[in-house]
Amino acid sequence: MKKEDFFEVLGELDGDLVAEAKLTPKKKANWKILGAMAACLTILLSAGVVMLNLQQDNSSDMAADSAAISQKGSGSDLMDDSAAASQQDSDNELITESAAADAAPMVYVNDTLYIQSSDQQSYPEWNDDFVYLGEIESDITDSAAPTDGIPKENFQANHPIVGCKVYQYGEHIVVKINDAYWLYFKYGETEVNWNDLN
Amino acid sequence: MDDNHIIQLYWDRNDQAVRATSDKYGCYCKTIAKNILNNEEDAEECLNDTWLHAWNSMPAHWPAQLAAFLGKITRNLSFNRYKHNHAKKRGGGEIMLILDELADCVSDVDTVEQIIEQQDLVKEINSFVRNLSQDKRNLFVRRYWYADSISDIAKDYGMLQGTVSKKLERTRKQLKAYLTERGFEL
Repeated sequence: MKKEDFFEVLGELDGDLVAEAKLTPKKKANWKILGAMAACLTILLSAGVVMLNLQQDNSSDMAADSAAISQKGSGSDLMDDSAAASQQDSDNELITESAAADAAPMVYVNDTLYIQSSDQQSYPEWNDDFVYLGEIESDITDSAAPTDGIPKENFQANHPIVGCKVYQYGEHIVVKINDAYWLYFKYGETEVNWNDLN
Repeated sequence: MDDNHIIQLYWDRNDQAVRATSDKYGCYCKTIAKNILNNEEDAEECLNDTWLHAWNSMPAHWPAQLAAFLGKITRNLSFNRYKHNHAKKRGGGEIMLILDELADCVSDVDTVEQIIEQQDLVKEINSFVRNLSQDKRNLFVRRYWYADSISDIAKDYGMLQGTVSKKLERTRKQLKAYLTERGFEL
């Protein structure tokens, strides 16, 4: 048989096999790549700590300098600026840590991160515009490994909704949880709730 | 719009059917066409032909898997066009590599005397693929049905390209042995 004919025969594979192969594949952990990433992260963190220490030393020095100048009756602006900058840096760190620790309910579907609408209202009725996409396959909080609370793999959530059905609804995602539909909108975009859509 | 709703539009002979299909499955089918044809313009024409074939084949048919149904039309049309282009020494790309790989499973000579019952062959291949592990099954279908590149498959499955190639090579050899055992000398 010619290879071209064989390719055509393979076109007759059953539809369910064909459909299954195009569903979101589960990425396997590539330990070589993960190892390299972990090494890079360690280096970056170490560099960050060193930089932070240097910055703090500089701030202390500058504060001491400006205090000395201030005592002479000038340079109070310099002290205010450096202290304000130092305070702002530490505020930013607090915001980042807080966001990771208190991550809102999110799902990652079709390479996009969606966040649950905060109006805390579910929608009880089926809508014909819902397009079935699949089911939530994993919950990042089940993992024993440390996590930033943000799902990063397709059909992954950061709250216990494994097995719940996921639907596309326009640009948004709907997840059926306990017989009610919950709305998720694209992370980083303007929040929407059911009232905006109905 | 869900698949049954789209199919119903075809059965109702509603013009919106083609628009809805194109919106939902345009990218899916075009990827298959481009994998095989390696040419934007040809792929676009195959896509339009796909919608026409879908229009002509429904309502006689109610596809159980609309995506696979449309993908199969695109695959057949694209491969026919590939053969037409290839006869004129045009085309190439991923499909050349795929066909070379499939030569592992067949003799690649015309076997005019040998009458192969294609229905039986398809049945055995389906049975073989169905019994593969999920990973191997999906790799095989992605490569030899969708004509996806090794690099795309490797990226999607978080594998090295060499690993994907090795797994596919082993599967092709298993398939050949499986078919030979069942009397298919291809």
